[in-house]
Amino acid sequence: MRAEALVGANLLMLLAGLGVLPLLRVAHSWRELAYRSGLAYLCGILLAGILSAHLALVHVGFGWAGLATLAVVSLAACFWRLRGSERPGWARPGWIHVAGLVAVAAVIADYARAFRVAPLNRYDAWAIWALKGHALYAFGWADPTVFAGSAYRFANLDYPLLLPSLEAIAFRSMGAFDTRLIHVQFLFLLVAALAALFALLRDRVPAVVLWLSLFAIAVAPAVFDQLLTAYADLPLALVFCVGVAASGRWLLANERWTLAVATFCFAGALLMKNEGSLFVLAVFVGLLVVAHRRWRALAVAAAVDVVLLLPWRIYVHVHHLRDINYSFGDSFDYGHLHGRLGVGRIAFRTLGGQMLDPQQWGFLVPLFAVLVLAAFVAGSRTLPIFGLVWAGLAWLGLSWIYVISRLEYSSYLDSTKDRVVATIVLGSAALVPLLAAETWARLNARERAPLRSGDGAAP
Amino acid sequence: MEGRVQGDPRPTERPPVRLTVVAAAIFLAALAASALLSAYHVRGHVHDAVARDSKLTAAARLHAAGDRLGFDPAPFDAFRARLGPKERYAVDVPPGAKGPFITRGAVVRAYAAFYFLPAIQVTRANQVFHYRFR
Repeated sequence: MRAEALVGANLLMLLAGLGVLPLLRVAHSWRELAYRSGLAYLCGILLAGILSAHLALVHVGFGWAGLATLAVVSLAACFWRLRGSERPGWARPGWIHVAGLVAVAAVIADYARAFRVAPLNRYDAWAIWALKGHALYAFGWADPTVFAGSAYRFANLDYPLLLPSLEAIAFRSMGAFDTRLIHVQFLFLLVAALAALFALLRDRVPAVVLWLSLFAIAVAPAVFDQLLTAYADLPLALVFCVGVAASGRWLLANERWTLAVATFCFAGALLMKNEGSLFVLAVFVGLLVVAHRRWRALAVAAAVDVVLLLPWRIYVHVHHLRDINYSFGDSFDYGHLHGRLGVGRIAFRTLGGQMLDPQQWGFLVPLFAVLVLAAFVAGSRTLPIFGLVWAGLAWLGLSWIYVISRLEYSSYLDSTKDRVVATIVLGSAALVPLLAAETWARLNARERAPLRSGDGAAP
Repeated sequence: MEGRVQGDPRPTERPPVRLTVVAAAIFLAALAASALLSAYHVRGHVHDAVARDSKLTAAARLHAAGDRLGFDPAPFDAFRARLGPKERYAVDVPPGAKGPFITRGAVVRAYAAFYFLPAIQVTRANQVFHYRFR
């Protein structure tokens, strides 16, 4: 019954996400809603997660009643907004889509065998995430006796609550603190992210490139291994990479709904883990560099993300919570930094090696690098510069954390190097299909006629 | 045709194999290779995880985190049975060996905080969990 309850809760999140798509301007008609419905599941998970994380700060629990209300309200708003609009028609899917869907579904089904029996035994999984999820489930809110208690300082109390809130929703729906089935919720996140990437890219990228990219992400051993640990790094990477893909599409096509999706995903990333702030900052810098003329839209998107993070930051401030691993304020502590700058070079090289490890990630990052180069050669600027800037800044930023940390750097690096790069790898991988399609289009156009410089959409 | 000498026997169409097609084929092959290499590796990971974890008993699953740390589950279970929800308790444990980040004693405190929830760990309380390393 618990498994069925978990699936039921996720179905409600899917419905809530479906309802929220017209509000994000993703769909203006039933036809568009059907076409882009792949985004619904991730948006629903993020909506429920963000809402429940905020409600947890003001003593409001979020379970079946909350999920049902959210789904009903969201669907009602959807029906109201789309009333009288164009209905979806049936089109036979191409064989590549069918084959791709079958292949990815087979991978997920295979993974499910492992996720439904996995034990909760990895340190961060129980000491940080499940502990907080259990506390939210048991107390109904972020009770400061635990969430700001000195005895719980080891649990990175300043980390935001999106993931524990999702775990708490799962526990409430199952009616128990089930340390086994909670892993299935992590697998559902992978499904949601893959579906979202498909919906985002399906009309911009050839089907074969899209499905091969999705399959390459799904079967990357690090995706399976890290998701199975029930740590937050892979969920952060999955949510963030959808935001990167949406940003890439926004740069090329200047559609507002893609920026709305990206903003929503980046809010999820900010509320998933502290490192999300670094990645989101890097991506906004990248967007600003290549689309500075669209700065107003970017300013609004950034403001929305800051507002969504604000309640948690207020809670952190009120309860004097601090990061136990590092503080960016130490970037200005010369006494601390003196003699540790060499750590940056070591960390940079080590993290680079992790990203290139074919037994962990396949060739996702080398393919991204080659495509960035190819896009430059083909005359494209916007997408490759965006990719280079955000990925480079994120890589530098992660390396800098090891420099400023008070922890012994080699142990810290050894214990985290494989997972902190997940966001950069998957973010890069999410741009691979767009880069490939863009480069292909430009090379083809160049063969037919001399090409003007610059990109399609205004910067 | 402009630029061509009349009677030039060279063909007028593009080369039979376009560079872009070759590049696209190489890219697709690399993407497919990435997926196949990963699929090959991940199959073993999935198989190992299923084989290892599907045999776990309910007790082994309950103590999985503690077992991984090498803790004796008996004292934890005995103390947990005495605790009610939201009941305050303290932990008495020696610092123990120093690990890469925290001491062994601190790990016991962390594990107790996880294992005894929804009871609440505080610095001082009437209920005290005593743990000694063997």
